[in-house]
Amino acid sequence: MISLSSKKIKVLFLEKETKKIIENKRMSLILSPDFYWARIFELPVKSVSSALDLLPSLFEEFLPKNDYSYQTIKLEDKVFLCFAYNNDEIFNHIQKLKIPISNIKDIYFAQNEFQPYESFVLNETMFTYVNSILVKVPKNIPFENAPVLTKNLEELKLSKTKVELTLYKSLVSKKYIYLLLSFLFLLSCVNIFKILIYNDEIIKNTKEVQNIKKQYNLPSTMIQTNSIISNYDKEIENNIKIREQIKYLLFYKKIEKNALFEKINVKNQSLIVRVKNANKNKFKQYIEKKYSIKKAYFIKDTLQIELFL
Amino acid sequence: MNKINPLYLLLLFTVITFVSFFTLELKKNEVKKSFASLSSFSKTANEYALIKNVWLNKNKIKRDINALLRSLTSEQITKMELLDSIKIKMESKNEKKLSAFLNKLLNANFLFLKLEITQNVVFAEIRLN
Repeated sequence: MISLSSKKIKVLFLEKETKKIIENKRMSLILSPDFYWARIFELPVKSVSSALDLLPSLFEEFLPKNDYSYQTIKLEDKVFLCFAYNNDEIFNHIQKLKIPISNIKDIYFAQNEFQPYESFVLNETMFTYVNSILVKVPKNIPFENAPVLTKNLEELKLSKTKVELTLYKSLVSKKYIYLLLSFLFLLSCVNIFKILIYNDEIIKNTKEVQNIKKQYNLPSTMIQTNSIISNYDKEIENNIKIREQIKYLLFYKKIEKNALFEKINVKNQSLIVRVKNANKNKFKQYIEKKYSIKKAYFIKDTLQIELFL
Repeated sequence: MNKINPLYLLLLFTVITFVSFFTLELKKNEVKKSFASLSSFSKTANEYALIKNVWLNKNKIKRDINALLRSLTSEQITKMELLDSIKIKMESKNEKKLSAFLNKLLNANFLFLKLEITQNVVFAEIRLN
């Protein structure tokens, strides 16, 4: 793997006896067998996940009562190397040593990292593989030709199996948090989906407006369109009124047959009627039933009336 | 190794959900406005089309006037076409024919710029556009 950082990652061996870690650098930790239990089991399952389901009951008879996390590696068909560890115990120890969490790159089981050695001495303690399981040798047993490793373990080729440790304390169960997270995620997705639909509707409506503009050959702005409409609306309304007024006036001939309409004139949005031989009061009353009179006067014997539209 | 506390993720997703609800509400209002504006726009467009096609359709007005004149061939009718209007005048001593002409004029969709009715003459100036 090509590392983008030129800094070498420190590799440190973490034991329960470790009292101080001064390094303030990025580091990988190797957990001493103090922190975990390892066993090889032959299980009637094929996958790692199925094996994981069986581990709590398998370890139950070996371990003191506590809350454990489990991990497993498939060695061969139906043979699994299994680990049990107390997450909080390891986390508390790391906190006690005041190692910043951000400085920890990865954590490994010692079981997998010292495979090239049958036995070795580290921090004046001997470790050896017994039936493929790394164990700590009691201090009263003398070291026998075991290589002594220095505290700096950078030369080790670390494995791919990392400890799936949770490096934080949670008040609420992770299960409920993830359930809530899934719910919120789903809710957000539904909302985003709705937002996209609404956006689509807005775009469609904008296009529809453009289509209508083209179809009806409307002026470029709504202000122009409204101005044209309001201008002509008034003129159309007046023209309709003129028609009604003329029809109403001419109907008067049926009431007073002698009445003679000399002239009806529509000009500058007003209607002027000149009538002869009509009873002035009767005619005025007839008009006022429906319309307002602007002016009424006589020119010789002809009555001239100007009407409001 | 899990370094990120899921509570932080929960907080992040809560914020995202709130933002999504807020944006959704804004979009909802925007869509409502867009539909209202479309509906008002179509109404205005229909109104505009009605004015342009019925009352200010130059060709239609000319066709209607010609049809009106054809139906009254025997009478003395004069027509004068200007750029923006048409003037027509009918002179007749026959009150019934004059009245029929007037009725046809009043029943057509013309915008009168001028209308003058006397005992023997009906004169109208009709807007073309």
